[in-house]
Amino acid sequence: MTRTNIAIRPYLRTKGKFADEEYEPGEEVLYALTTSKILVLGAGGLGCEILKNLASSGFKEIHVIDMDTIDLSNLNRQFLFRTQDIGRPKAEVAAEYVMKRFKGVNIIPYYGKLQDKDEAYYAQFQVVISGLDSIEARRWINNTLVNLVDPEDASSVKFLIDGGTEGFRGQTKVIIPTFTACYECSLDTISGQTTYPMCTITNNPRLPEHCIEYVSTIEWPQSHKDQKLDMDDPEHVTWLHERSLARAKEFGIEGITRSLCLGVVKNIIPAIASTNAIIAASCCNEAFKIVTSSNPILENFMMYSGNDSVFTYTFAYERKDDCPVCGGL
Amino acid sequence: MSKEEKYDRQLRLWQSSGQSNLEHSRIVLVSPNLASLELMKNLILPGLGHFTILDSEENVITEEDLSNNFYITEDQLGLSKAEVFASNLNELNLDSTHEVVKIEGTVQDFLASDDLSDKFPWNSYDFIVANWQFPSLIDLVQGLSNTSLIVVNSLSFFGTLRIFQKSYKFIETHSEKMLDLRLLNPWKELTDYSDSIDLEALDLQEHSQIPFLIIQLKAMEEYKRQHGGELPKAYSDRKVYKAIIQGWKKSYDELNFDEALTNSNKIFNPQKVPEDLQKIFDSLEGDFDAKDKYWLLVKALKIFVDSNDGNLPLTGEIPDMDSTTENYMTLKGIYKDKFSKDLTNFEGHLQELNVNEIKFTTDEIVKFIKNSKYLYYSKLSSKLINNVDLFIEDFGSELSEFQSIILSFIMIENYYLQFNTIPSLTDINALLNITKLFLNNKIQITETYEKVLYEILRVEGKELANISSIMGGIGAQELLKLITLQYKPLDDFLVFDGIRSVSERYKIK
Repeated sequence: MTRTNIAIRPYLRTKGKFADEEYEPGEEVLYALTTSKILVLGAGGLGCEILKNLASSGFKEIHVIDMDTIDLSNLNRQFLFRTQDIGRPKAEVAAEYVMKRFKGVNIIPYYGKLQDKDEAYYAQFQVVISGLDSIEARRWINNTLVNLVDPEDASSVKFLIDGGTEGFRGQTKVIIPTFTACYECSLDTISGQTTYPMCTITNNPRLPEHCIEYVSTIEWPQSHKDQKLDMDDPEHVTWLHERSLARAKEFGIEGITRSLCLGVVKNIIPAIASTNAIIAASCCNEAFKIVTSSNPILENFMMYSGNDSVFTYTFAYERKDDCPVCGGL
Repeated sequence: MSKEEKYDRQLRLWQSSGQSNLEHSRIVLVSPNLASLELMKNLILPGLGHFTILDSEENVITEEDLSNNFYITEDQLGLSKAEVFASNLNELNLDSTHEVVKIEGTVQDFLASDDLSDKFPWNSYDFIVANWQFPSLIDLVQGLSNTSLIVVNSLSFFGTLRIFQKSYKFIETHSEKMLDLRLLNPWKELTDYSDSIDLEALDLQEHSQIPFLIIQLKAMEEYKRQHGGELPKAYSDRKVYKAIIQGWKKSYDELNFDEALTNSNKIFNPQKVPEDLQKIFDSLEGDFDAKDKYWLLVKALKIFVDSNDGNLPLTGEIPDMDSTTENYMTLKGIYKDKFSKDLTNFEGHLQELNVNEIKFTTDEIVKFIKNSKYLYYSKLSSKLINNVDLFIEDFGSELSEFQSIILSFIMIENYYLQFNTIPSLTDINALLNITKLFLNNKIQITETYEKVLYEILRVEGKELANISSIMGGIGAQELLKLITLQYKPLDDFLVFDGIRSVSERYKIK
């Protein structure tokens, strides 16, 4: 027995009352879904969920790019990985797992950077879903997809669906390059990493974070010359932890823990399976609607917060005329 | 393999206390659908203690399951759903234990039996997760002291989530804290310290290292001196107050004075008992229970506030401020000392109240005090939503889109519970008639309702993997909050619309 489309067919065989007037349901829509090429960026917390959802909702031609290998701290949410996979490339393990579960789905993994691929590579997709954890990588793909747009050719417009989570919060953005606000247009809504003034960390530390910053950025290079601080090396973490404790003691500061050391130096963002599930599925829901036209798509941002009850906020982010990436296009 | 490392990304959200609750939590999943499977996955991954799947032995993996369900493999067609789902979910995290309970006959018949409470050890579970609002399950949880019911549904592009729990008693709500720094009504030790500093006598270096709280406090004293002891109240007064700070600044690059100015409005935020906390105090009259830790703590807090001029105990926390380590630590020490005194007083009140000598650890009390301003309490209704009077009371006479989704789900639920099958488009007229009967002319059916109902019926009861995953994610977040007793949970009904990606909450009264 193989996997069929039984559960998906009714959605595409009939037309709902909210669909676009011109929409025609039928086999062609199903064909569009199964042949549409989709690219997933990142095979981490969001990426695992996205790959599962795409396979479970009828997509068959999927590519995935990720430059990381599997770490123990991934397993609390990146459910396509097991203990024995630690150290292997995420993209490859994720693709293997989903293809084993969903025969007939073709997933092509690439273990490496987004920047390794050229424009011709990105031009083959209709939709790109990003489950990346870095602002820089998001800006890069946004820029690349905006550059691909040829005003004479509608198929050169690639939908970019961007998901992001932090703790119980997350957001989904649907970007249609040169038609809606792009990632760069919305950059001022994104907060960066906390930084501390140099004078505070060297002369006037007041918080445990100040001590950790001092030890990692000043003491470590002084005593380790050419060796880079590697927070995945337990011995390095122990050294940092002990030195930070000593510095904190000197200044009468409390609250240094190993976990805090890791959090500060690696800039760790709390992550849980449930938030990733919500945002990844929201991204895939939009991808499904884009490819099948079965219902209208999100215009264009959705924010989710579960800190205080359940709160969603959906709004249309405006394009910026002076956007350095899509302004004037 | 270290659990601290494996669970690092979530321990940063709910700490080891929340994790311990999760690892001791037990859930029974009744007749899983895609949404409730997704929900369980999101609890098993972070380390749920135990789950049991309860289902009819007749329910086996079908071709339909194969087409949209990730948690099975092709060769499992025809096998028992409960067994397949349990083992495939458990494989996600071997830290959880699991059990399968198969019942004879249909789930509907099982749940409708008169001796339901004796047929399964319900009270050994913390939560029951189900897909439909089985009236008998709702009745059942009424009689159980420590078991709550979560109902999660997903059909077409829509979903609903409802929590049946008698009450929420939360301490650690992780609210965005507005620290009570007591600058409008400082205590003696703080004033003494502030008075011991003579800003004018300091050299520029020292002047630029005075913590901004001291600058604000001194400016407040100066304002009062100039205005016959009055505090700045109106917007124009505050401008005068800010001008005092500005006037003291010796050099353009004194960060501490900039901080004093940018944070000056916060001083005027009301620091006494917030409205939500006052409501909890008001609930003491009807809900106080001398055997319940939460209520003992709340009552002790009320007594503390009443005998401290309306002030809550100080938490001892201060924000980071530009200053020398020494100045900062001295100031911090003064706030900490005040916290310790308040703690001692609070403990005294608690001890007097605690006639049953229930044991409290210092950690518990400290945690309560540090969060006391932002406690959360709510009582939930146990009423079934499919009662037209309730429906009208909550929704008025015009059906909005969200209300149309809710009503559609209720009608489909009623149909399903009666006929054990989900209706499709061929049943639309029957469904519309049932709706009219239900509404009994008290609310008119709108075009929006017909459109929503059509949208749901056309999918023939098939779940959309994405929507089920969203609902499972939302349901899991809510359960994590209920289990860890942290953050603030949904109170108590949510409807999600995946066409527009919007949601709305309702409280069933």
